[in-house]
Amino acid sequence: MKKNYKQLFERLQSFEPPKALHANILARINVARTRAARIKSVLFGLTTVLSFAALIPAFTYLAQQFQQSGLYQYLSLIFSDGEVVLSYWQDYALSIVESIPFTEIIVFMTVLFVLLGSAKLVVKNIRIVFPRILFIR
Amino acid sequence: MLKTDQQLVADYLDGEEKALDELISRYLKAVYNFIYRITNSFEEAEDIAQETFLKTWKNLKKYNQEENFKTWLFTITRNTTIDWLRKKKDIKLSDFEDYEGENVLTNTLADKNPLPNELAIKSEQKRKLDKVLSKMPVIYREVLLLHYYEDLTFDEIGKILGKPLNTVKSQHHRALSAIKKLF
Repeated sequence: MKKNYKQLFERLQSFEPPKALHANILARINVARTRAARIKSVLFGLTTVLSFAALIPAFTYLAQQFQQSGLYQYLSLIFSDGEVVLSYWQDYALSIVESIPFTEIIVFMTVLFVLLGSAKLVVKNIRIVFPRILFIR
Repeated sequence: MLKTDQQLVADYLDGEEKALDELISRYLKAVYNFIYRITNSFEEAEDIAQETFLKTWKNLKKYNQEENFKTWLFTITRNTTIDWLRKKKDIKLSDFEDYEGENVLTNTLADKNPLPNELAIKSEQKRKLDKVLSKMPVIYREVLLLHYYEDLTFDEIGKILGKPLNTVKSQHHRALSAIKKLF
């Protein structure tokens, strides 16, 4: 029975899509992709600029914190008083860990990753908007 | 070797542009014909097919590789077509209604009343079926076309229409009843 209906439906006329339809679909997709890429380029471009601007104070603050933490002094002890460091290595290691400005490092690394990630996406999207730009391939 | 739909989707997402081109080539005719059968308009079939593949491209990242691509694509096709018709207000609520209440549900139809083979091979049948399908509510047309024309299972059709398996099966029976009635 199912076979009969199947045969019946096989007799339904099958229409060929217009010749230009395939190309039109690809063209529409291309327009939509270029448009989306343009918007993303601007958004990620802004993010890149902002994160680059934030990177400078983040780095300055991190450097300040490193200086104030006394980490350099602790580290210089290795060269000046190596024997003392070896004798009290557990206390020494704890002091080193305590002096590391973790919060500032996390802030700096986050800004750096945002900068690198957004820069990568800017390049990726610019390649879609301007596919003929060869130097960034 | 012919790549599977899943491979083509994965290739496209990896940056191979031609994979999308091939996917469109593979399904364009089926999608176009399905839409035409629902809308009865070549112009609309062309516009909706464009919209369908655009939506497919937009959602390609969301496609679950374990899912049947054809089922997924026809879900988009069907929804896009219905949305399009609703926007045009070309589709009445009654087009989605079945014949329940008109007492035409015959669960045993397939076994008791087979269509004779000779009926299917007459050239006149083609025109008649076209006419019958165009008069039939969309809800039945979809089930028949997807099952007999696109070779999809009731389970797959259920996924496309967003309906339980039993509902699809009973709609299928009613659709066959309707075909018999209209022929």
